[in-house]
Amino acid sequence: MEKVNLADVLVKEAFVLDHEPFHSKEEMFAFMASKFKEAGIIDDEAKYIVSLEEREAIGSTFMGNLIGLPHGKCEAVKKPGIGFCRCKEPFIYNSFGESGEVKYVFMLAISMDQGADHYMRVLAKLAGLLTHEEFIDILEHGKSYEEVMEMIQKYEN
Amino acid sequence: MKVVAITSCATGIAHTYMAAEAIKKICKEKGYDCKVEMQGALGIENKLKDKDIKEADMIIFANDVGVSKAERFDAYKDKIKKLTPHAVIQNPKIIFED
Repeated sequence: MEKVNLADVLVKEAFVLDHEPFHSKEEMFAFMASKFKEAGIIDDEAKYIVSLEEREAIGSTFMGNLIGLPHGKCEAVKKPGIGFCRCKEPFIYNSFGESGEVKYVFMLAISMDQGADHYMRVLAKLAGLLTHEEFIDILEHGKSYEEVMEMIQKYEN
Repeated sequence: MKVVAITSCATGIAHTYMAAEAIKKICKEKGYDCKVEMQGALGIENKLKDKDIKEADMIIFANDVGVSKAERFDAYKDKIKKLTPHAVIQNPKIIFED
């Protein structure tokens, strides 16, 4: 499998450590969407949030192990990207009739352009990594964007 | 023990790949052979060969949407276990539960 670099797609401006627990998933959506807007990943927060909610209406994005993985695909996404937020404590994440505790949020922004295979490859890789306890450990203990990136790269090698 | 699986999901993005990894991981822990075909946003990847399907002791369908080229499995219906990718991700052990 070709090497993929998470640093290419994990958006630094949307990488947040030790945020206060959110009161709801919706509050987290608004917060992360504003980070994506600042970073130029999306050009319209409201449209992007609608696409996240459309995905929520199809099935749960609560993945267990304290992970929430919401994703939105729409025209408002100008550049694909992944946002990450680690909360100080878990918050209750309700998704498609399911309810669970989430401490780590990975939010995916997917553009409509079909040529984004490289990016999809990275997403696939990330999704796979999330099933490994060692990777979750990195997310729990990393102290900065740079440190988490470095630890991920070491772990992959 | 040989396990083969097909994963797919509604948007073809997260669950397809996460379920595939969860299945490979639990099979590795148990010392089983495992091949997983992913039918996601990148098209069909790691496509199962007829031989893989024939030799499998267990066939896992972890899908929210229809399986592409499902006719390959017509002769082996008794070996197929149908699950959702979501259930497999949250509790991979269900693959081996009755």
